[in-house]
Amino acid sequence: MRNDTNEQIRNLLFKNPDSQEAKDFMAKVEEKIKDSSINQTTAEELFKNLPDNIKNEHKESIEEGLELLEETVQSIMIARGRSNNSSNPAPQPQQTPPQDPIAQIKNDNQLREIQKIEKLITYYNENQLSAEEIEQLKKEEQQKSQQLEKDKKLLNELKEAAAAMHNPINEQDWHPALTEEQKEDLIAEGITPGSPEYDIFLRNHGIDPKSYIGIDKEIENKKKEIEEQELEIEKQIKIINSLENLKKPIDPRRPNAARNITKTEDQIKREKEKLNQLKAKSQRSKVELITLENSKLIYDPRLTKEQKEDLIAEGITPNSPEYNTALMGYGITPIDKMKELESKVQQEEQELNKIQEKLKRTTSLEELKEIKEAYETIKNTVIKDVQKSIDEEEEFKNLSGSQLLEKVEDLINNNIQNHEKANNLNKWENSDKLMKELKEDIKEGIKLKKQKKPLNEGSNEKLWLKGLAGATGFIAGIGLNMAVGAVPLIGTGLALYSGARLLYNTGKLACSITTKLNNGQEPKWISNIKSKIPEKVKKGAEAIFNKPKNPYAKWFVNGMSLGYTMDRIFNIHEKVGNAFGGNKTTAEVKAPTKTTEAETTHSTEPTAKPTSEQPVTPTQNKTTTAQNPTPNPKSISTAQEPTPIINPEPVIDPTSSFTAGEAMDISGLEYGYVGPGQQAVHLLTDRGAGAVFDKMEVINGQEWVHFKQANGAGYAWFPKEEVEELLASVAKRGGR
Amino acid sequence: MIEEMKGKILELNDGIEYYVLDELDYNNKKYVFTSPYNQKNETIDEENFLVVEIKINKDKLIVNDINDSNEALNISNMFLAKMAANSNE
Repeated sequence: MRNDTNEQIRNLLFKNPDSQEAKDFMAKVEEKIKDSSINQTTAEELFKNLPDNIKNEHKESIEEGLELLEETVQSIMIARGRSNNSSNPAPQPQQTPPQDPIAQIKNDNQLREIQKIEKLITYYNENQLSAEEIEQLKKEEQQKSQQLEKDKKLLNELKEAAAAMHNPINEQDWHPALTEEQKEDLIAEGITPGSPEYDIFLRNHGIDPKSYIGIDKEIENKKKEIEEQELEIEKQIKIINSLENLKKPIDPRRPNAARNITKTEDQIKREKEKLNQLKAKSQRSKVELITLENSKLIYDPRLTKEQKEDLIAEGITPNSPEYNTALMGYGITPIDKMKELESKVQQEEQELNKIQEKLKRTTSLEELKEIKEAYETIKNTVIKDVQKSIDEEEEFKNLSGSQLLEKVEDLINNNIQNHEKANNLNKWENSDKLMKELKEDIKEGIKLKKQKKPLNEGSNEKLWLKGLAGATGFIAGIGLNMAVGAVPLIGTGLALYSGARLLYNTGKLACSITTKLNNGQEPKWISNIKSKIPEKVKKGAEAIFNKPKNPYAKWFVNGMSLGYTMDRIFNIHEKVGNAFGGNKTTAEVKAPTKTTEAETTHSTEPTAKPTSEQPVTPTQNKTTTAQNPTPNPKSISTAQEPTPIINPEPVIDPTSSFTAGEAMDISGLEYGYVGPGQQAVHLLTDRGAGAVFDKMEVINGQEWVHFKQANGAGYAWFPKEEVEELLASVAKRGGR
Repeated sequence: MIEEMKGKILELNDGIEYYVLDELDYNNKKYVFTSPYNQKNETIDEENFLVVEIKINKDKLIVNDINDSNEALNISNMFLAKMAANSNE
C-alpha cells in the first residue's frame, strides 16, 4: 500500500517518474512520512490526513502548502501537455483530459485578470512561431481558404439542385401547349397544375384543360391500353387455332371438302396478319409506356435540355448505374456526393481554424502586450497624478473620511477614463474585471494622507526591497526543503512542493552552469573576460538590482533552482509592503529606535551596522566580549562561542532598547516572523547564535525587532518582548 | 589572486556568456552572481540567475558548482542581502 501511494505521488508530481531525481526525492518524502507517521493515500491527502492537533496548530501553513502543491501539479500538467510526452504516460489518480494551456490560464479563477494577461504573454513568448513557420502557415491558410471556398460553392450548387429535384411540380405536369414563358409566369404567380387558377389560365389562353390529362393519367391509360391489346392478341391466337383445327384430311365422300380447306387457309392467313398487327401495336404501346414513365424520372436540373435528351436517347435514366458517370462526363458533380462534400468542407474548416488560431497568437501577443503596457502606464500615471492632487490641492486637504474617499474615487475614475490608453483595456475579453482590478491597484498605491518618514518614503521598489531585506532572514532561517524538514509535518508538504518545483525547473532549463564536458571529466573554464560593457547592458544590470521584473525569477545554485525562494520573497514583499505602507494609514509606524551611547551600558564600541560592503565577514559584526567592562546579559559571543553566557550577573532589564549592530544569542527562539505581524516560520536556530540586531519598528502598537545573521544575511523578525523574555530567561539561568 | 569580476562578461569555453552582476569574497573563495548574457541583443536575462564559485585550476580560471548545500544557501543569501542593501542606499 505504501509503495502504491508513493508511486501515485511520484507519478503525480514528476514528468519522468523513473528518473533518479524523482527516486531521490521520493526517498526524502518516504523518510519524512516515516518520521511523522502520516498514512495518506495521495499527495493531497498527505496534508488533509494530518492529525487535527497538527492541523489546528499549523492551519495557515497547511493551507498554503495545499495551494502550493496544487499549483505545482498544475504546472507539471501544463508542462506535460506542451511536451507531448506520450511515450511515458503516467497513470493519474484522476483521469482528467489535458487542457489547452491558454484556456487553462483564461479559466483560472485563482488569477487576477492582469495576472492572466501576464501568464498568457509568457506562454505566447515561450511558444512563439518563427518567421518561417508564420510564412508557411500563411501559405497554408491561403491554399486552404481557396479550397474551402471552392468546395463551399460546389456544395451550395448541390444543395440547390437537390432542392429543385424535390420540387413537387414535375415538368410533365404542365400542359404541353403552354410555352416556357407562360410556365415561368405561372410559377412566378405561384400557380401550379391542379389548382383552379391553372385551369382558368389555360382557358384564358385558349387551351382546353381537359385536352391534357397529365402524365400520371396518361401512364395509367397506356397501361390499360396495353392490357386490352394483350387480350385482343390472345383472342386472335385462339381464332387462328380454331381455324387450324378445321384443316382436317379431305373426306372423299364430300366433294366440296377441298374447296373448303383452301378457304380456311386463306382465312388463317388473314387472321395471322391481324395478329401481327396487334402485336406490333402492343409493342408500340409498351415503348410509349416506358417513354412516359421515363419522362417522370427527375433528371439533374443542371443538365441542359440537349444533355438530358441525349441521356434519354441512350436509355440512361437517373436510376441507371451509368447515370453518375454520365453526369461527371458533363462536368456535373452528382448529388450523391453531397454528404461526402459536406464532411470535406467541415474538415477543411477545422483545419483552417487551427491555422488561423496559430496565426492569431502572433496578433494576440502584441495585443496582450498593449493591454499590459496600458495597464501599467495608466496605473502609474493615475497614482502619481491623484497623489499629487491629494497632497497639494486644498480641496483634498479639507476633506476626510468617506467624503475624501469618494472624491479620490471620482478622481481615479476620471483620470482612467481620460487616459489616452484607456481604450486598450477594452481589448481584453474581461475588460470590466480588469478595470476593476486596475482601480484596486491604483487605490493600493495611493496614500490618502502624507505619512511620516522613513518607512513610507520612496517608491514601491523601496517597499519591495524592505520586503526583500526581511525575506532574506526568512530564507536564511528556513531555507529550502532541508530547512523545512525542521518541522516534519509541515516540512513534508513544503518539501513536496519545493522539491517538485526544483526538479521541474532544473529538468526544464538544465541551468547548472558547470555542466561537465568530455563525459564529466573536465569542468567549464573561462576563456575570456570582457570588461568593455555596452552602456545598455550596464543599465540593465542596475535595473535588476532595483526590482526583478519577474517574481518567479529562477535563481540557481549548483544547478538547483531557488525559484521557490524568490517566489516567496515576492509574496513576502507584498505582505510586508502592505503592512508597512500602501494605504494602511492606520498603522503607526516609526523609525527604528536608536539608543544613545549613554543609554547603552553594555557596549564600549560604536555600533557598526553591517553595510553592503561588509556583509560577508562575521567578525565585522559587533560582539560583546570578555573585555567588555559592563557586559550586557543579552549580549553573548557569536559564531565562535554561541551558547555560553558571559555575564553571570542576573541583571534583567526588559524595557531596555537594543543597539543596532549588537550581536546576541537568540538561538533559543525557535520561531521567527517573515515580517512584522506576518506568519511565523520555523528557524534554523543555530543561525540565531550571534544574530545581530538590525532595527526595530512599531506596527499597530507592537514593537518588532529585526535581526541579521552573523554573516550579514537577514535572519527574522520577532516581537520585542519575546526577545527580551528569552534574554532575561537566559540571564537568569546563567546566574544560577 | 583573481581579478575583480563584477560588471564584466565571462565567456566560457563553450561560447556561452554570463554577465557578473555581483561578486563576493568569502572564506578565501570567490563567488559570482551571474545571469546569462545575450551578446547579439546585448541583453541580460532577468529571469535566470546563477551563483557559482570561480577558482583557479591548473592555470585556468574555472567556474565551479557549490557542492555544499549549506554553503550554497549562505552565499545565495549573502547576495540577496547585498542586493537589498545596495538598493537601499
